[in-house]
Amino acid sequence: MKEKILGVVFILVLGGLSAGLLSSVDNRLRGKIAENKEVAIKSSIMAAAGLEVPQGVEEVKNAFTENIVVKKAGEYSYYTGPGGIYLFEMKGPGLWGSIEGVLALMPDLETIKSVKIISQEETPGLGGRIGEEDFLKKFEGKSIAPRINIVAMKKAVASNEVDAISGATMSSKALENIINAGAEAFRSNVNIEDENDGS
Amino acid sequence: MGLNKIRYTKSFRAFMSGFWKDNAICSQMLGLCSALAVTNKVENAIAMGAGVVFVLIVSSFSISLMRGLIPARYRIIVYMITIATFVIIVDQYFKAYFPSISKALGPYLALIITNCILMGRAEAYAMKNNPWHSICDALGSGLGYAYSLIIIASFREVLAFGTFLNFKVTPAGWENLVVMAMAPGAFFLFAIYLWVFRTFSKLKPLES
Amino acid sequence: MALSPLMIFLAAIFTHNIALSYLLGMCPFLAMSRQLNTAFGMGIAVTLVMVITAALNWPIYHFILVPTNSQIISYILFIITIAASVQLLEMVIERFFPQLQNSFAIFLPLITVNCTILAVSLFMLLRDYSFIQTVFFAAGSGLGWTLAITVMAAIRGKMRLISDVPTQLRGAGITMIIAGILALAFIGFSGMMRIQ
Repeated sequence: MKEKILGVVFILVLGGLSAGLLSSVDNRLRGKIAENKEVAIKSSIMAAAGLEVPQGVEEVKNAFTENIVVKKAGEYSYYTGPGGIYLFEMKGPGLWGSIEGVLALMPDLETIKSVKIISQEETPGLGGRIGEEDFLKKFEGKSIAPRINIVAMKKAVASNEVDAISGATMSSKALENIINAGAEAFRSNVNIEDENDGS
Repeated sequence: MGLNKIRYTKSFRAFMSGFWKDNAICSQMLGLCSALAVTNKVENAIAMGAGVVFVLIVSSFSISLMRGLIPARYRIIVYMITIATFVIIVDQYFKAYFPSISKALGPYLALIITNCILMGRAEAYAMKNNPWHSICDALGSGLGYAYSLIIIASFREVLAFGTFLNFKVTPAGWENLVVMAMAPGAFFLFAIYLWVFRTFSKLKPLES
Repeated sequence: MALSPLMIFLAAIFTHNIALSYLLGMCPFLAMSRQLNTAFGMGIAVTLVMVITAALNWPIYHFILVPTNSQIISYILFIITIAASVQLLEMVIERFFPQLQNSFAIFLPLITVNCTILAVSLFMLLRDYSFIQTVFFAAGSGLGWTLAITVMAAIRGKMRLISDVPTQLRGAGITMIIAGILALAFIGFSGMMRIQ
């Protein structure tokens, strides 16, 4: 009986020590981890705007402040970049987790300048390839009016169609929904006349 | 004390057994999940290897320090709490300072907690030996694991992506064997590595 | 989330098999796949523990850790849940199903270190599943692992009768090669399910 009690006490003490150590590590690193996330988002926005993304946390933050203007329309935030580009973040469910990305639109608000993926958890090697440059390049110059369509079987013809990744139809479709939903949110929240008056 | 004499010290033997003869991956068949899953790129293998070496050393050291106090009945849970604590610390440091590698490794870094090598070394060595020898054993086993991973990853990355540490090494006409990046490739290459290693180190066959 | 629980369940067995796609649970996969009944028993035990621990870990994370901002100790609590569930299951079998004791009881201590159990909880976090999704995911993963290990055991059993495996490839080596072929076969399931 005594042995059992001593055993349990030992484990509790060990647990306490461990929790203490972990809390201190957590306190030290939490800020840095949040900062990494911020830098990832800002880097993606700048990359989507066609800007060169510098190395280093401070450099990214400074370059962002210099080149990108954060705008708000009520609760909705979006960005403008050099050359009159509009950018917004988009997020939605993928096959396995959220897909987060950035869409950059040319000043005509119809032509895509570029699509960048910030994070995704799709199947590595298959759906995960939606994050690859080779795939994302296909969106450049395409139109999101009335909506972008990701079509299978390499049948993309129209100016608003893009080829899906072979073997990753579901992830490609998820991305299609996310882009269209993001564009819809942008259109409904942002009134471009107000924007021109403001600047 | 000639250099030759070092071969007979306990520390050296502890190191060498994990490094070669009793190699965790090829001889003891431990820690296989990560050997298969994270060897798709060399940088992932290096990161995983470094993580395991670090956690192995620190946890074997800690467990060896506590070996007089650990209640026999609950020793498994003690190992797990100790190992988990250090794995969480490594995981957090990777997330903070190497976020891209942390993302690439995904849940596999956290799964070092259940990596049989750590529990195996704790039970088989750290509980019965002093801290210094436990460190030598941990270093040997950890490095044995790490180099196995790196070798397998080298083949897989070159075959599957045509790169080594992200530098393109294949000629222009090369068609990437993407299947090597996925599960089947992992299994096949691992089997070949196992075959070569066991043949050259003349280990006793696993089955007759 | 995009997926229905049924879809998650089926995907976990076929298209995203935890052993043949995610390469988890390999140590027991090698060690326990020699005999058919051992393999199947291990698989069922793993499935049971997986579902129980997933069902426990979800509320622990969402109702205890998140509100108190102590996610840092998630993994420790998860493995404690796993170890405790295994102990509990051992006691239940000893008390209520003594006839199972001989076949089941030897596996249970090994399950604590089976990476698949912890992995299910980790994926639950990574993919932000709801409770129902988590339970279906755990059940599917367990059954998928059982399927893989049982098929492997059946094949190995047959091979012992008719094949002559090179010496240093016996045991783990040939198992890996069989697993590779199985994994290739399972990739064939990829297009099986359509959502829209």
